Amino acid sequence: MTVHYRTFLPHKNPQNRNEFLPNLSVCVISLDDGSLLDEQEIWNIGFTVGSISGYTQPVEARADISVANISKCQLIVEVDSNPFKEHANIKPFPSDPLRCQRLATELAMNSELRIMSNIPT
Amino acid sequence: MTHLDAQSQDTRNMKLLKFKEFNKRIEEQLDEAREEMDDVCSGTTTHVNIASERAFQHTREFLNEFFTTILSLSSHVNLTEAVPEIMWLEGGLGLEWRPKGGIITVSIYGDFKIYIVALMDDSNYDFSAKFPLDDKNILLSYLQLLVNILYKETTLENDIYFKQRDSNTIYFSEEEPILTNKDDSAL
Repeated sequence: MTVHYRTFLPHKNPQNRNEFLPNLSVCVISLDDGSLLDEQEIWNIGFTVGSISGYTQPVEARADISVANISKCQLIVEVDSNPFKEHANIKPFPSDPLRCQRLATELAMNSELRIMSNIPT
Repeated sequence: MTHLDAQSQDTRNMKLLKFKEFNKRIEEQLDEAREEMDDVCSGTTTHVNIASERAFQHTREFLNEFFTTILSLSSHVNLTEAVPEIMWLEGGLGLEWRPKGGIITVSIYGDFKIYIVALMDDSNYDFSAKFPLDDKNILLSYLQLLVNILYKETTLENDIYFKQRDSNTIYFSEEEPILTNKDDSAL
């Protein structure tokens, strides 16, 4: 599973929406086996990588994208551990912006939105 | 003033109010996108591709035309469906709508081009396109397609979507200029 974090909530009925278009170069992590981490641990990674990536606002939402859906787009997840341990890149994105956008849109359509405030305490 | 004149004036006022509300929501989201971008820029020493002022301006321009197209077809529009999610992308701004059965994204980098992708269950509406922002005919045809997808399952009649705007159409950018002539080079 890959996870994209965001510091602003989607505006329209966030509980009912699936996802937002991932900003593909910011706060991406790869979890080899998401089942080994509970929700809080995944959020904690988000807080850490958010600050490493330069965000001063706390993470509010995230998008989970399965590796299967990434593969469907002929993309791969490559772990590079830079600038933080869990960082990974989804690649290879084409240089043509329109083709790149189409792939990103496909990923967004097949991802799942998680909202920080929905975590049971 | 005749009854028809009064009715026309009411419709005009209703459209103007909707346009103001639409703009208000867009500006709020643009502010948040800028805030997110500035937040990252101030918190990191690595290179960040910010969205240029021109990208912000082109986004306003595109959405102004988009909502004008909607209002030219009907004053009974659902604002929530019309307002996209706006976010900062590397080097530009992204807009996103989630109509039933799919997703539509628009990317605007300030290069005078619009990049649009629609992924829909209905393959008739599944497309990717890049077109110049300043070619009003092409822009209008894509805007009408966009509006058609967004509102195809609402109360609006399908046959009105591809009707061309005529001289009687209220065109709000002439009445209430929301665009400026700011250029990146002047900033």
